[in-house]
Amino acid sequence: MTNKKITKEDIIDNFYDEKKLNNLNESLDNYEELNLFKEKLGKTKNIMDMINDDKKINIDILGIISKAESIQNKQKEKKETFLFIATAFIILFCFSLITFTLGSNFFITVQLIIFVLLPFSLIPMAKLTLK
Amino acid sequence: MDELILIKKAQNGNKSALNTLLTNNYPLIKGYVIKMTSNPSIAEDIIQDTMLKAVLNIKKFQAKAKFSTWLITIATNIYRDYLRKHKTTELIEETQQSSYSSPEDATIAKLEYKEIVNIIMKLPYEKRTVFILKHYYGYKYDEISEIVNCPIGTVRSRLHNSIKFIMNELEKGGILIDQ
Repeated sequence: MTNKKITKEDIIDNFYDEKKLNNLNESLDNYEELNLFKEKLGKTKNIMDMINDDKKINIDILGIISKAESIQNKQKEKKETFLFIATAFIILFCFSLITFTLGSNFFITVQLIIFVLLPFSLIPMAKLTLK
Repeated sequence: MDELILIKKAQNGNKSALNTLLTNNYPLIKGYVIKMTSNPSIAEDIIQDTMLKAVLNIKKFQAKAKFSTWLITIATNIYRDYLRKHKTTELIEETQQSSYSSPEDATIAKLEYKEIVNIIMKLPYEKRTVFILKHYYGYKYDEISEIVNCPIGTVRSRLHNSIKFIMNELEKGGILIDQ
């Protein structure tokens, strides 16, 4: 670094541990200027370090977590409602299409099967719930 | 408890771990936002929004960087969006407890303190962010580059310009000379 010209930017980088510099060489043309800048930088640091951040701010972290949970639940509900409506629409559409193609007899047959068999499906479900 | 373990637990839905994680990082994020905004009222809103966003997106956090760095990134973005919505922000007068021997010394110190805060707030948002992250928190250029999402050269340039501006303002205000 001794052969290359040192700039104020290099001094700043060195000050903040971003760049290694050999000690400023008195043979540099701008040695006085750089040395003065380096001193000013140190003084500036001391002045800026006066800033404190001990202001009182009330943050309820648990409250924020609860709020986030509430938002996530609402989003989940919206998603589930949308999926339900979309699925119901698709099923009804397919059902209508098949009925239109095969005739109303198909519709009546399916309805009979559902009304007769569906109550029986509740028995194993009730048993599972009791277990 | 190791932060990585806390993060894993929080991502799995453990509220206690999430609370501990946020509480541990609260002083850092609070200090950063206060320095950025210099307004406790705005800082409170920014911090709350930051924490809320962090909780909502905790599963997206990848442990490539520190959790505090992630929080600072969120806070930086939220504050940037706030500035875009509100073109002007007022600086609320700071009150500082003094331990000076005379009222005159306390007044001078208070004026100097206010002047220093004003100087930081005069910096454009982009430069102020870089300066605060570098000077007060010791982030490296590449880390700052990730946080503010700009090239390292730009970060370096912003820091240099900020330092020169601050030094110039301190000299004009007669504060640097007095030290």
